[in-house]
Amino acid sequence: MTVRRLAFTVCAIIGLFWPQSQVVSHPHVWVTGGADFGLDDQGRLSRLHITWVYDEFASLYLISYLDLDRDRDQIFSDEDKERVLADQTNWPATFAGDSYLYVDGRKVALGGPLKADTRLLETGQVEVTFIREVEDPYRPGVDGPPAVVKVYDPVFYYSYEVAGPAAIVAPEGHGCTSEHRPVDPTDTTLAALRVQLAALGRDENPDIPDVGALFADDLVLTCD
Amino acid sequence: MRLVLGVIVAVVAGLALWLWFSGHYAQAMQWAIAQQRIFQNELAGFVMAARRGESGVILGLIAASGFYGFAHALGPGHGKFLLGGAGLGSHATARTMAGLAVASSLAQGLTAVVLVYGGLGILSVGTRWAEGVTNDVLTPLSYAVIALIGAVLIWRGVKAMRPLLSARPQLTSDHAHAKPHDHVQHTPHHHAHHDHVHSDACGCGHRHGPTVEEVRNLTGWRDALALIAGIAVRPCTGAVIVLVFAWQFDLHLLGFVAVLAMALGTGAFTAMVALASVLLREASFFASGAGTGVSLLAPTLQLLAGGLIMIFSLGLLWASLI
Repeated sequence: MTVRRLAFTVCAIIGLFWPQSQVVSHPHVWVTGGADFGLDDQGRLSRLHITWVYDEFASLYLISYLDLDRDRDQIFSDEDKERVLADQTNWPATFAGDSYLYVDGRKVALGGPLKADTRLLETGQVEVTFIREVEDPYRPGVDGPPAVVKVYDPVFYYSYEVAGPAAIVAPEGHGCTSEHRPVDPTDTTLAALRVQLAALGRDENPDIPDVGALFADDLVLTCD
Repeated sequence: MRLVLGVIVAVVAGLALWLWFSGHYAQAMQWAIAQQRIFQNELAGFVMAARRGESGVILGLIAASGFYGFAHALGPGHGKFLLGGAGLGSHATARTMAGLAVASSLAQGLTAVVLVYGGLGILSVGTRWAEGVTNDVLTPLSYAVIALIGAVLIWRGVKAMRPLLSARPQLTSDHAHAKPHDHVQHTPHHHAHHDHVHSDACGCGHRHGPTVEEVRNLTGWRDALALIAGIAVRPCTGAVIVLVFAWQFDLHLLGFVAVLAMALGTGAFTAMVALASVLLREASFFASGAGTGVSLLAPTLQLLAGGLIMIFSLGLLWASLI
């Protein structure tokens, strides 16, 4: 093989793979919080209580471009809250809310954000909370599979982190347990999976329309 | 010689591919992203503190900005490909390349300052304007300029290589060549005049090819300016955002200092890439026994570097336009 052909091959190979590295997980915003399970009086999973806590940099960005906390007391006024919620809860049709409920591997429809609230934490982080209703309330475990919630952004611009098991917001004696099944961060196959995600995104493989879910922790609800 | 070069190119390409496919690249990127996140949040914390009117944040802000710039530069970026390619495809010294790296980073920081402070202060546009200009105009412009630099490198490589390929030497006669050769006269300044006469006359294995001067082209001040401009025309979005914060919170000087520190952090890493490319180039010259810059190697490296720069920048240009 001549030098030039080698050089060309190297260029071609790198060129072939280059655009993918643009897609490989480059989260720019980190969100902690997650989803808590809300049960109705019949013990069915009827809503999710979503919490988004933006990282300090993203929060500063929100404060800057929404011109919040002008008195610098690090407390949101009513006007501040209105601005944040207008920005955060008017979802375009293309945005699915970054929280997903699965029963037996199938997605269950969730409603838009309700009862939204926001505050500025002492750390300078912006917190947004809201409720999403489960369109078909479901009690998992008795006669069917558990309910699984994943919180993720399909395109990985936002990286959602779930700290622990979801709380259960329900009347006493609901008989359900919540479990956090994290994706192992030290798993060496995770890095390879991210490269795989890039490949899938490029090919737009319709067989796996929801590849972002592969990297999301499972929040599992089971009931007696 | 060609075999040696082929082996070197193959080894480097093999290493790059191994890094890519083994997942180590992704792991390294994840680590870099994690560091970037830490310093980015530190930086935000200091800006928040300054915003509340707390004093004594400046040193912390400078440190966080510097490390943020360094960590941010760990990812793939236009400046590193350009400087790495230029180091490989030119004959610039390590010191020149390091200087170019730092100068272009500082110029990039200044672009952000001029864009944000100029835009917000003089034109009194909205805070989102600077980001819009960066993403919609300056980023594609930068990639186009860099692609052009890649094309110039390729053109120079082809120009230097053509006479060599059209008059391939008889390698077999190389060792038979007994007449002592007057190498002294082949200084860069005289060499061009002797090149064709020399090879046609004796037909020996001495291919003096492109002169050191020819491949050293990139160190001319015009080339250096083009390099710096190609990088500096696109400010780092991180710097733009920090300056917008600083402007809005009336922390103008603090923002300027933070971006300067950020640029120095970025420049430190870019300089390392530029130095590595010079090392790689020198190693391949050494390994091929072409230490005097007398071979196909220089134009080949130029072609390779120009090709890589063009492919990367056109890829980035495409991604920035769609």
